[in-house]
Amino acid sequence: MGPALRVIAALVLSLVGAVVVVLIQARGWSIVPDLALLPVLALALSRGPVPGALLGLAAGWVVDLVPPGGAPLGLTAILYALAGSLAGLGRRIGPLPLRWVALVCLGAAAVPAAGRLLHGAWLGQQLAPARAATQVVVTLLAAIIIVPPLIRIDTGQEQL
Amino acid sequence: MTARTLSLYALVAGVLLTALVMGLDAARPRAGLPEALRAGGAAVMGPVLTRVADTFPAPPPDAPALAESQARLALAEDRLRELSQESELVRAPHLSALTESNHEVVVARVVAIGAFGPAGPERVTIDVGSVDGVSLDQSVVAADGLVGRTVRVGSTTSDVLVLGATDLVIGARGVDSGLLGTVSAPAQGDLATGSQGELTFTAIAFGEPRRDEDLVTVGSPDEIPFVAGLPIGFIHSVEEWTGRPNVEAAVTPAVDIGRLDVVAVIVPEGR
Repeated sequence: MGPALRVIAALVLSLVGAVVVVLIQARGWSIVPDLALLPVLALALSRGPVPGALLGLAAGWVVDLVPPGGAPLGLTAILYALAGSLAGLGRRIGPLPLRWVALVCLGAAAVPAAGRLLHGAWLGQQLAPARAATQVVVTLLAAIIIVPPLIRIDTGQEQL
Repeated sequence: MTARTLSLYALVAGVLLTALVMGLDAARPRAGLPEALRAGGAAVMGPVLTRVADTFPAPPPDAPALAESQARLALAEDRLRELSQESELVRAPHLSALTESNHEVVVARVVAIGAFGPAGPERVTIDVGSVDGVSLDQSVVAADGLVGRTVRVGSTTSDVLVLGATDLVIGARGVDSGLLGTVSAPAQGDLATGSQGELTFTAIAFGEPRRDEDLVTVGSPDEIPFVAGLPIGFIHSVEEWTGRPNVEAAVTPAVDIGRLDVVAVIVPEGR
Protein backbone atom coordinates (compact mmCIF):
# COMPACT_ATOMS: atom_id res chain seq x y z
CA MET A 1 0.00 0.00 0.00
CA GLY A 2 1.47 3.37 -1.03
CA PRO A 3 1.91 6.32 1.36
CA ALA A 4 -1.10 8.21 -0.06
CA LEU A 5 -3.32 5.16 0.26
CA ARG A 6 -2.23 4.74 3.87
CA VAL A 7 -3.29 8.33 4.60
CA ILE A 8 -6.72 7.60 3.09
CA ALA A 9 -6.90 4.39 5.12
CA ALA A 10 -6.08 6.38 8.28
CA LEU A 11 -8.84 8.87 7.44
CA VAL A 12 -11.32 6.01 6.94
CA LEU A 13 -10.24 4.60 10.32
CA SER A 14 -10.88 8.03 11.87
CA LEU A 15 -14.35 8.04 10.30
CA VAL A 16 -15.07 4.58 11.71
CA GLY A 17 -13.78 5.75 15.11
CA ALA A 18 -16.02 8.84 15.05
CA VAL A 19 -19.09 6.74 14.18
CA VAL A 20 -18.30 4.17 16.87
CA VAL A 21 -17.92 6.93 19.50
CA VAL A 22 -21.33 8.58 18.83
CA LEU A 23 -23.06 5.18 18.64
CA ILE A 24 -21.53 3.97 21.91
CA GLN A 25 -22.40 7.24 23.64
CA ALA A 26 -25.99 6.79 22.45
CA ARG A 27 -26.04 3.48 24.33
CA GLY A 28 -25.31 5.23 27.64
CA TRP A 29 -21.48 5.25 27.79
CA SER A 30 -20.40 8.68 28.94
CA ILE A 31 -16.60 8.18 28.81
CA VAL A 32 -15.40 6.86 25.47
CA PRO A 33 -11.84 7.00 24.09
CA ASP A 34 -11.23 9.55 21.37
CA LEU A 35 -10.97 6.80 18.74
CA ALA A 36 -10.90 9.15 15.75
CA LEU A 37 -7.70 10.73 17.08
CA LEU A 38 -5.68 7.50 17.24
CA PRO A 39 -4.90 7.13 13.49
CA VAL A 40 -3.81 10.79 13.53
CA LEU A 41 -1.36 10.13 16.36
CA ALA A 42 0.03 7.05 14.60
CA LEU A 43 0.66 8.79 11.26
CA ALA A 44 2.03 11.89 13.01
CA LEU A 45 4.52 9.75 14.95
CA SER A 46 5.71 8.08 11.77
CA ARG A 47 5.67 11.09 9.39
CA GLY A 48 6.18 14.26 11.41
CA PRO A 49 4.33 17.43 12.44
CA VAL A 50 3.06 18.77 9.09
CA PRO A 51 1.48 15.52 7.81
CA GLY A 52 0.20 14.94 11.37
CA ALA A 53 -1.44 18.36 11.45
CA LEU A 54 -2.96 17.87 7.98
CA LEU A 55 -4.43 14.49 8.85
CA GLY A 56 -5.59 15.90 12.21
CA LEU A 57 -7.39 18.70 10.42
CA ALA A 58 -9.14 16.25 8.09
CA ALA A 59 -10.02 13.81 10.89
CA GLY A 60 -11.33 16.68 13.04
CA TRP A 61 -13.62 17.70 10.20
CA VAL A 62 -14.89 14.13 10.02
CA VAL A 63 -15.69 14.22 13.76
CA ASP A 64 -17.38 17.60 13.42
CA LEU A 65 -19.55 16.44 10.51
CA VAL A 66 -20.68 13.04 11.79
CA PRO A 67 -24.12 13.75 13.33
CA PRO A 68 -24.85 15.25 15.77
CA GLY A 69 -21.52 16.98 15.11
CA GLY A 70 -19.59 19.54 17.07
CA ALA A 71 -20.20 23.15 17.92
CA PRO A 72 -18.76 25.44 16.79
CA LEU A 73 -18.10 23.60 13.56
CA GLY A 74 -14.34 23.31 12.97
CA LEU A 75 -13.22 23.44 16.59
CA THR A 76 -12.42 19.72 16.66
CA ALA A 77 -10.53 20.10 13.35
CA ILE A 78 -8.30 22.82 14.80
CA LEU A 79 -7.72 20.88 18.04
CA TYR A 80 -6.92 17.64 16.19
CA ALA A 81 -4.52 19.56 13.92
CA LEU A 82 -2.71 20.85 17.01
CA ALA A 83 -2.67 17.35 18.50
CA GLY A 84 -1.32 15.87 15.24
CA SER A 85 1.33 18.56 15.04
CA LEU A 86 2.41 17.93 18.64
CA ALA A 87 2.50 14.17 18.12
CA GLY A 88 4.56 14.72 14.95
CA LEU A 89 7.21 16.52 16.98
CA GLY A 90 7.67 13.19 18.79
CA ARG A 91 8.86 11.43 15.64
CA ARG A 92 12.23 9.73 16.04
CA ILE A 93 14.52 7.96 13.60
CA GLY A 94 14.40 4.22 14.16
CA PRO A 95 12.10 2.14 16.32
CA LEU A 96 9.97 4.01 18.85
CA PRO A 97 9.91 2.65 22.40
CA LEU A 98 6.38 2.00 23.70
CA ARG A 99 6.87 4.34 26.65
CA TRP A 100 7.81 7.14 24.24
CA VAL A 101 4.68 6.45 22.14
CA ALA A 102 2.60 6.49 25.32
CA LEU A 103 4.14 9.78 26.48
CA VAL A 104 3.56 11.47 23.12
CA CYS A 105 0.00 10.12 22.92
CA LEU A 106 -0.70 11.40 26.44
CA GLY A 107 0.46 14.90 25.52
CA ALA A 108 -1.36 14.92 22.19
CA ALA A 109 -4.60 13.45 23.59
CA ALA A 110 -4.59 16.19 26.22
CA VAL A 111 -4.70 18.89 23.51
CA PRO A 112 -8.36 18.42 22.42
CA ALA A 113 -9.45 17.98 26.05
CA ALA A 114 -7.61 21.13 27.15
CA GLY A 115 -8.93 23.03 24.12
CA ARG A 116 -12.53 22.14 24.95
CA LEU A 117 -11.98 23.16 28.58
CA LEU A 118 -10.58 26.52 27.43
CA HIS A 119 -13.51 26.95 25.05
CA GLY A 120 -15.90 26.24 27.94
CA ALA A 121 -14.06 28.70 30.18
CA TRP A 122 -14.24 31.32 27.41
CA LEU A 123 -18.05 30.85 27.31
CA GLY A 124 -18.28 31.06 31.12
CA GLN A 125 -19.38 27.45 31.46
CA GLN A 126 -18.74 25.31 34.47
CA LEU A 127 -15.77 23.10 33.76
CA ALA A 128 -15.40 19.39 34.40
CA PRO A 129 -11.61 18.84 34.51
CA ALA A 130 -11.95 15.45 36.21
CA ARG A 131 -14.12 14.21 33.37
CA ALA A 132 -11.70 15.61 30.79
CA ALA A 133 -8.75 13.95 32.57
CA THR A 134 -10.58 10.60 32.64
CA GLN A 135 -11.25 10.92 28.93
CA VAL A 136 -7.55 11.57 28.27
CA VAL A 137 -6.54 8.53 30.33
CA VAL A 138 -9.05 6.29 28.54
CA THR A 139 -7.82 7.59 25.17
CA LEU A 140 -4.23 6.92 26.25
CA LEU A 141 -5.07 3.33 27.16
CA ALA A 142 -6.69 2.81 23.77
CA ALA A 143 -3.70 4.51 22.10
CA ILE A 144 -1.22 2.14 23.77
CA ILE A 145 -3.08 -0.76 22.16
CA ILE A 146 -3.94 0.70 18.76
CA VAL A 147 -1.24 3.24 17.84
CA PRO A 148 1.89 0.98 17.79
CA PRO A 149 0.46 -1.47 15.20
CA LEU A 150 -0.66 1.48 13.04
CA ILE A 151 2.85 2.96 13.20
CA ARG A 152 4.29 -0.42 12.22
CA ILE A 153 1.95 -0.61 9.24
CA ASP A 154 2.85 2.92 8.13
CA THR A 155 6.61 2.58 8.52
CA GLY A 156 6.90 -1.06 7.54
CA GLN A 157 8.80 -1.85 10.75
CA GLU A 158 8.59 -5.33 12.17
CA GLN A 159 8.83 -4.31 15.79
CA LEU A 160 8.74 -1.14 17.85
CA MET B 1 8.00 23.35 -5.10
CA THR B 2 8.72 20.44 -2.78
CA ALA B 3 6.11 18.13 -1.31
CA ARG B 4 6.85 19.58 2.14
CA THR B 5 6.20 23.14 0.94
CA LEU B 6 2.96 22.01 -0.72
CA SER B 7 1.88 20.33 2.52
CA LEU B 8 2.61 23.51 4.47
CA TYR B 9 0.53 25.60 2.04
CA ALA B 10 -2.30 23.06 2.24
CA LEU B 11 -2.15 23.12 6.04
CA VAL B 12 -2.23 26.92 6.23
CA ALA B 13 -5.13 27.06 3.74
CA GLY B 14 -7.01 24.35 5.64
CA VAL B 15 -6.54 26.06 8.98
CA LEU B 16 -7.64 29.45 7.59
CA LEU B 17 -10.73 27.92 5.97
CA THR B 18 -11.58 26.05 9.17
CA ALA B 19 -11.16 29.22 11.24
CA LEU B 20 -13.49 31.04 8.83
CA VAL B 21 -16.20 28.37 9.14
CA MET B 22 -15.74 28.25 12.93
CA GLY B 23 -16.07 32.02 13.16
CA LEU B 24 -19.21 32.01 11.02
CA ASP B 25 -20.76 29.24 13.11
CA ALA B 26 -19.90 30.89 16.42
CA ALA B 27 -21.03 34.35 15.30
CA ARG B 28 -24.42 33.48 13.89
CA PRO B 29 -26.58 30.43 14.63
CA ARG B 30 -27.48 28.54 11.46
CA ALA B 31 -25.16 30.52 9.24
CA GLY B 32 -25.36 29.33 5.62
CA LEU B 33 -22.02 27.62 5.10
CA PRO B 34 -21.79 25.73 8.43
CA GLU B 35 -25.40 24.55 8.12
CA ALA B 36 -24.81 23.39 4.55
CA LEU B 37 -21.77 21.41 5.74
CA ARG B 38 -23.77 19.89 8.62
CA ALA B 39 -26.60 18.98 6.25
CA GLY B 40 -24.09 17.32 3.93
CA GLY B 41 -22.57 15.34 6.80
CA ALA B 42 -26.02 14.26 7.96
CA ALA B 43 -27.09 13.26 4.45
CA VAL B 44 -24.06 10.98 4.11
CA MET B 45 -23.72 9.64 7.64
CA GLY B 46 -27.34 9.75 8.90
CA PRO B 47 -28.48 6.59 7.07
CA VAL B 48 -25.31 4.77 8.23
CA LEU B 49 -25.94 5.68 11.87
CA THR B 50 -29.60 4.68 11.61
CA ARG B 51 -28.73 1.36 9.99
CA VAL B 52 -26.13 0.51 12.64
CA ALA B 53 -28.41 1.64 15.47
CA ASP B 54 -31.13 -0.67 14.14
CA THR B 55 -28.88 -3.62 14.97
CA PHE B 56 -28.85 -2.68 18.67
CA PRO B 57 -31.21 -4.47 21.07
CA ALA B 58 -34.75 -3.22 20.71
CA PRO B 59 -36.08 -0.92 23.45
CA PRO B 60 -38.59 -2.28 25.97
CA PRO B 61 -41.93 -2.91 24.23
CA ASP B 62 -43.67 -0.17 26.21
CA ALA B 63 -40.98 2.51 25.62
CA PRO B 64 -42.50 4.04 22.44
CA ALA B 65 -45.95 4.05 24.06
CA LEU B 66 -44.55 5.74 27.20
CA ALA B 67 -42.81 8.46 25.18
CA GLU B 68 -45.92 9.09 23.14
CA SER B 69 -48.12 9.08 26.26
CA GLN B 70 -45.89 11.69 27.92
CA ALA B 71 -46.08 13.89 24.85
CA ARG B 72 -49.85 13.59 24.63
CA LEU B 73 -50.25 14.05 28.41
CA ALA B 74 -48.28 17.28 28.32
CA LEU B 75 -50.38 18.50 25.41
CA ALA B 76 -53.59 17.56 27.22
CA GLU B 77 -52.46 19.34 30.41
CA ASP B 78 -51.60 22.40 28.40
CA ARG B 79 -55.02 22.28 26.75
CA LEU B 80 -56.62 21.90 30.20
CA ARG B 81 -54.73 24.96 31.39
CA GLU B 82 -55.90 26.85 28.35
CA LEU B 83 -59.52 25.80 29.01
CA SER B 84 -59.22 26.86 32.63
CA GLN B 85 -57.94 30.26 31.59
CA GLU B 86 -60.75 30.50 29.04
CA SER B 87 -63.32 29.99 31.74
CA GLU B 88 -61.79 32.75 33.85
CA LEU B 89 -61.19 35.19 31.05
CA VAL B 90 -64.03 34.27 28.78
CA ARG B 91 -64.63 37.84 27.74
CA ALA B 92 -61.05 38.52 26.71
CA PRO B 93 -61.06 39.13 22.95
CA HIS B 94 -57.82 37.29 22.22
CA LEU B 95 -59.30 34.04 23.54
CA SER B 96 -61.41 33.78 20.44
CA ALA B 97 -58.21 33.03 18.56
CA LEU B 98 -57.66 29.79 20.46
CA THR B 99 -58.26 26.74 18.34
CA GLU B 100 -58.51 23.10 19.03
CA SER B 101 -55.17 21.42 19.65
CA ASN B 102 -54.29 19.12 16.79
CA HIS B 103 -50.67 18.12 17.27
CA GLU B 104 -48.91 15.18 15.73
CA VAL B 105 -46.45 13.12 17.78
CA VAL B 106 -43.58 11.44 15.92
CA VAL B 107 -41.84 8.70 17.90
CA ALA B 108 -38.09 8.30 17.31
CA ARG B 109 -34.96 6.57 18.61
CA VAL B 110 -31.73 8.24 19.59
CA VAL B 111 -29.04 6.91 17.25
CA ALA B 112 -26.04 9.07 18.19
CA ILE B 113 -24.88 11.31 21.02
CA GLY B 114 -22.31 14.02 20.40
CA ALA B 115 -19.64 15.73 22.48
CA PHE B 116 -20.24 16.31 26.16
CA GLY B 117 -20.52 19.80 27.64
CA PRO B 118 -20.34 20.80 31.30
CA ALA B 119 -23.80 19.36 32.03
CA GLY B 120 -23.66 16.30 29.79
CA PRO B 121 -24.29 15.73 26.08
CA GLU B 122 -25.21 18.83 24.09
CA ARG B 123 -26.58 17.31 20.88
CA VAL B 124 -28.18 14.01 19.98
CA THR B 125 -29.27 12.58 16.64
CA ILE B 126 -32.66 10.89 16.22
CA ASP B 127 -33.82 8.63 13.41
CA VAL B 128 -36.68 10.76 12.06
CA GLY B 129 -36.48 13.69 9.68
CA SER B 130 -38.40 15.78 7.21
CA VAL B 131 -39.94 12.70 5.55
CA ASP B 132 -41.60 11.96 8.90
CA GLY B 133 -43.00 15.49 9.20
CA VAL B 134 -40.31 16.82 11.52
CA SER B 135 -38.98 20.33 10.96
CA LEU B 136 -36.75 22.85 12.70
CA ASP B 137 -37.50 24.17 16.19
CA GLN B 138 -39.87 21.51 17.45
CA SER B 139 -40.06 20.18 20.99
CA VAL B 140 -38.57 16.76 21.68
CA VAL B 141 -39.70 14.84 24.77
CA ALA B 142 -39.00 11.53 26.48
CA ALA B 143 -41.24 9.60 28.83
CA ASP B 144 -40.05 11.70 31.78
CA GLY B 145 -40.11 15.16 30.22
CA LEU B 146 -38.42 17.65 27.92
CA VAL B 147 -35.32 16.60 25.98
CA GLY B 148 -34.69 19.65 23.78
CA ARG B 149 -35.51 21.09 20.39
CA THR B 150 -34.65 20.17 16.82
CA VAL B 151 -31.85 22.31 15.37
CA ARG B 152 -31.05 20.47 12.13
CA VAL B 153 -33.44 18.35 10.15
CA GLY B 154 -32.30 16.08 7.35
CA SER B 155 -34.50 13.79 5.33
CA THR B 156 -34.14 10.78 7.65
CA THR B 157 -32.35 12.10 10.75
CA SER B 158 -32.53 15.21 12.93
CA ASP B 159 -30.17 16.78 15.46
CA VAL B 160 -31.58 17.84 18.80
CA LEU B 161 -30.03 20.52 21.01
CA VAL B 162 -30.64 19.05 24.43
CA LEU B 163 -31.40 20.44 27.86
CA GLY B 164 -28.12 21.54 29.43
CA ALA B 165 -26.50 22.63 26.17
CA THR B 166 -24.76 25.98 26.41
CA ASP B 167 -26.86 27.49 23.62
CA LEU B 168 -30.22 26.45 25.05
CA VAL B 169 -32.17 28.72 27.40
CA ILE B 170 -35.74 27.68 28.18
CA GLY B 171 -38.56 29.74 29.65
CA ALA B 172 -39.80 27.89 32.76
CA ARG B 173 -42.50 28.22 35.39
CA GLY B 174 -42.70 26.73 38.88
CA VAL B 175 -45.80 24.55 39.06
CA ASP B 176 -46.54 25.46 42.70
CA SER B 177 -45.23 29.01 43.04
CA GLY B 178 -45.99 30.07 39.47
CA LEU B 179 -42.62 31.84 39.48
CA LEU B 180 -41.31 32.52 35.99
CA GLY B 181 -37.67 32.21 34.98
CA THR B 182 -35.23 30.55 32.67
CA VAL B 183 -33.47 27.20 32.78
CA SER B 184 -29.99 27.00 31.29
CA ALA B 185 -26.66 25.22 31.58
CA PRO B 186 -24.85 26.13 34.80
CA ALA B 187 -22.29 28.92 34.51
CA GLN B 188 -19.19 29.36 36.63
CA GLY B 189 -20.14 30.28 40.20
CA ASP B 190 -23.68 28.89 39.94
CA LEU B 191 -25.27 26.83 42.68
CA ALA B 192 -25.93 24.02 40.21
CA THR B 193 -23.05 21.68 39.46
CA GLY B 194 -22.89 20.60 35.85
CA SER B 195 -20.80 17.55 36.68
CA GLN B 196 -23.88 16.12 38.40
CA GLY B 197 -26.09 16.97 35.44
CA GLU B 198 -27.81 19.85 37.24
CA LEU B 199 -29.13 22.96 35.50
CA THR B 200 -29.63 26.52 36.70
CA PHE B 201 -33.08 28.09 37.15
CA THR B 202 -32.95 31.89 37.26
CA ALA B 203 -36.12 33.66 38.37
CA ILE B 204 -36.97 36.78 36.37
CA ALA B 205 -38.95 38.48 39.14
CA PHE B 206 -39.00 38.83 42.93
CA GLY B 207 -39.92 35.58 44.58
CA GLU B 208 -38.36 32.45 45.91
CA PRO B 209 -38.58 29.13 44.12
CA ARG B 210 -39.60 26.26 46.35
CA ARG B 211 -37.42 23.27 46.94
CA ASP B 212 -38.70 20.08 45.22
CA GLU B 213 -41.00 22.21 43.09
CA ASP B 214 -41.52 20.92 39.55
CA LEU B 215 -40.69 23.19 36.62
CA VAL B 216 -42.52 23.13 33.29
CA THR B 217 -41.98 24.96 30.02
CA VAL B 218 -43.70 28.31 29.61
CA GLY B 219 -44.09 27.68 25.91
CA SER B 220 -43.19 29.76 22.88
CA PRO B 221 -45.18 31.83 20.39
CA ASP B 222 -46.80 29.42 17.91
CA GLU B 223 -45.17 26.66 19.98
CA ILE B 224 -41.87 27.28 18.19
CA PRO B 225 -39.69 25.84 19.62
CA PHE B 226 -41.37 24.79 22.85
CA VAL B 227 -44.86 23.57 23.63
CA ALA B 228 -46.09 24.77 27.03
CA GLY B 229 -46.39 22.48 30.03
CA LEU B 230 -43.58 20.03 29.33
CA PRO B 231 -41.81 18.83 32.50
CA ILE B 232 -38.25 20.17 32.73
CA GLY B 233 -37.21 18.90 36.15
CA PHE B 234 -37.48 19.79 39.82
CA ILE B 235 -35.72 22.31 42.02
CA HIS B 236 -33.00 20.61 43.99
CA SER B 237 -31.67 23.50 46.05
CA VAL B 238 -32.21 27.25 46.22
CA GLU B 239 -29.61 29.95 46.90
CA GLU B 240 -30.09 32.09 49.97
CA TRP B 241 -32.43 34.96 49.13
CA THR B 242 -30.77 38.35 49.45
CA GLY B 243 -33.74 40.50 48.55
CA ARG B 244 -32.86 40.91 44.91
CA PRO B 245 -34.63 39.44 41.90
CA ASN B 246 -33.00 36.79 39.72
CA VAL B 247 -32.78 34.23 42.51
CA GLU B 248 -31.00 31.12 41.30
CA ALA B 249 -31.79 27.49 42.01
CA ALA B 250 -30.22 24.18 41.05
CA VAL B 251 -32.51 21.99 38.95
CA THR B 252 -32.35 18.24 38.54
CA PRO B 253 -33.54 17.50 34.98
CA ALA B 254 -36.53 15.20 34.54
CA VAL B 255 -34.71 13.32 31.78
CA ASP B 256 -31.33 11.60 31.96
CA ILE B 257 -30.01 12.67 28.56
CA GLY B 258 -27.13 10.21 28.64
CA ARG B 259 -29.52 7.27 28.83
CA LEU B 260 -32.08 8.33 26.26
CA ASP B 261 -33.50 5.80 23.88
CA VAL B 262 -37.04 6.46 22.70
CA VAL B 263 -38.22 10.05 22.32
CA ALA B 264 -41.08 11.87 20.62
CA VAL B 265 -41.11 15.00 18.49
CA ILE B 266 -44.16 17.21 18.91
CA VAL B 267 -45.26 18.58 15.55
CA PRO B 268 -47.53 21.58 16.14
CA GLU B 269 -50.74 21.99 14.23
CA GLY B 270 -50.39 23.03 10.61
CA ARG B 271 -46.63 22.44 10.28
